[in-house]
Amino acid sequence: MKIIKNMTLSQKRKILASTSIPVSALVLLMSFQNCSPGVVQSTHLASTGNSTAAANIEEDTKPITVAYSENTLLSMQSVTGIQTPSARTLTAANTAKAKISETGKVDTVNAPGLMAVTNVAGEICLDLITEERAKTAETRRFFNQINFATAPAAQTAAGKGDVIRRMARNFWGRNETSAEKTVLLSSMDAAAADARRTGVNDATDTEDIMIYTCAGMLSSLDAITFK
Amino acid sequence: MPINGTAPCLLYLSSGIELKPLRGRGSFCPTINTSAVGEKMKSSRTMAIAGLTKRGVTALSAALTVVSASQALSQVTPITATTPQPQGQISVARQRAQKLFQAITAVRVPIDDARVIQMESLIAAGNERGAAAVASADPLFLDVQIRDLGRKMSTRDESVRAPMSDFVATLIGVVRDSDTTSAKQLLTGNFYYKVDPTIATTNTVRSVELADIIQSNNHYADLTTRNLSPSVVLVRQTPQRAVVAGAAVDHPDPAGLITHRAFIEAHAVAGTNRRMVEYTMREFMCVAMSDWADANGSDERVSQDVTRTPAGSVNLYLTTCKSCHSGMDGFRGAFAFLDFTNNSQTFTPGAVVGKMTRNATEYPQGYRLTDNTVVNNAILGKNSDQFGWRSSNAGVGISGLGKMLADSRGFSRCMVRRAFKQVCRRTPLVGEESLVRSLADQFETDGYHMRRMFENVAIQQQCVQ
Repeated sequence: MKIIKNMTLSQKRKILASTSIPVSALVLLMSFQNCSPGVVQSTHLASTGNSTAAANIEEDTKPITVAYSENTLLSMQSVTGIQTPSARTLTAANTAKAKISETGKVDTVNAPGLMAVTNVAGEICLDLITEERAKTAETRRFFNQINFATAPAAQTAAGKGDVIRRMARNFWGRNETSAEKTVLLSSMDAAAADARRTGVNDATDTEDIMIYTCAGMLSSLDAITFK
Repeated sequence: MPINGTAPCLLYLSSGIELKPLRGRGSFCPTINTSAVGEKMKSSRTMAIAGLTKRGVTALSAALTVVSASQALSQVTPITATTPQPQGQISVARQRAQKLFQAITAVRVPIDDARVIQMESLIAAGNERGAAAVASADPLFLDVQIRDLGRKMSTRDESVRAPMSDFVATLIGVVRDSDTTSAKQLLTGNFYYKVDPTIATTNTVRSVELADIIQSNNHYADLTTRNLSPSVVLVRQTPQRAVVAGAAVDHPDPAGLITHRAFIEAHAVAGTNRRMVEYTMREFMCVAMSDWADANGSDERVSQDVTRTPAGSVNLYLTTCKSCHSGMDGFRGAFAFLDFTNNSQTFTPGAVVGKMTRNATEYPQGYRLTDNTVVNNAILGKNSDQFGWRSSNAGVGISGLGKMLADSRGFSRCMVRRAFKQVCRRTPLVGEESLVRSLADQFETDGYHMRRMFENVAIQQQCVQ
């Protein structure tokens, strides 16, 4: 058997591949069992006639879930603090129910469901901004540093960063990362640079940008995931 | 300027400093004699402070409207408006507190929420149970988590989209009243929950007993459409009611949730009432039919409508049909007098309903129901262990069956499994059976205290991590 240091580079790579790939596969298999039905969680195993079969009467459940059709609106109300959603929001939420996952299981999440969640998030965010705009800046919960009377371009980076931080804490349960902040700020700036809706003034345009940011953050997976 | 006659429905007539609320809207709202109110106000201290100007009256009217609105809001699920703390630290205990709250209530909550901060302190002090209790005391726990558990248990679809019903309301009520109500009463109680009559009147919840509760789901549908908080508005009503000979009477054979309209509507309509057995076992013992089928069980009670020679094979009957019918038909007698007709559960005490003896010519030598006695044939082999029967293997009526189930270890284990699935968002693994049994034992030791059991489940490391 050759000593390793005497082997050619190609031989070393072959050995590395033959040992590391199975080990990596094993690690992957063992590490992410929580994310899939997998071997240990297969409910089919449980119904083989032993006395523990009763433990599983539903198939393929998973420990990580997202908000489901019945708690999506309330969860959004909870993190935004909207006690009474508008009739418009309630209508949107009722319409969305049929599209949002019934169980919240990750394998039931699909594009129409996420779009429906985003739609409800947009409506709740409009409710939130309507509520906040009516308050003085210092009594607001999210938009303390936003001047709704001026154009989006007039909002300071610090002010926008403050909105992102506040939403991240309430919606995501954590502070935003610097990468997330960069993405959000640049998307806000990009949206502000876009042509505004026909006929809207500076204030409405600023409101639009805030709804855009709020809805994006409120409908992201971190805002609807239950771990 | 006259006071708006409708705005101050919740009228605070000043009588010195004390303010007396007259709750209500619509028909319950007193007609306000604006000039009289004005005179009353003129003589009150409040108005003396406010000044007897038109502006003062208008301001008071507006204030009263706000009070009225907040009073109405007190009947909906409260949402806390949390102000984020941009510079606040997020400790590990805080993160766990948030996850625990979300797991128990099924609603996301801000990391800076006051309840989460309170839970954080308790967790940091090593009091996880105390932290869980903060979450389970929140109306969201009942209004979302328990509501959705009830919805899944109440219908054949086992869907969270099932409507609010008497079944769901009673489950919420029993969990809310855990301090005084054993969970065993879910299978043995002679009561149901409905909207507090005062609140029902205020919110125009349809509440005519026969039309809106016994023969339809109107009462509970209105609870949802009026956005009322079940945790707040439900009150216990005793006894249960059913239809006998076309009239609403006290229930002749009450058995907790089993004899609630929603459950019976789901499982006793048409058929042979075997579905009542199947779903009673499924929902309250957490076993699908295949999980407790036993070919070794006695077939003495297997009815006449079950052929003993399916496809010409006696063996097929002995190895397949009998496995389910042995247990199912043994229990089926409980429902001998029950049917679901005219949109209500109807009883014919003493007389076996026709659907229980149909197709008797299939095997005339089979068992023919003549009464509502129950025989437990699910006592052998694995069934002995998984059900853990502790009372008589024979009983009478639905109430007898309910007691038999409620007394078993299988019931307490099932409640733990249901809580585990709700809170931990997965079914217990095979290897966690000992944990389930340990939690079930604790549940029984705690007097079948549902809320406490949910707390115990949630704080397990296997649950919220």
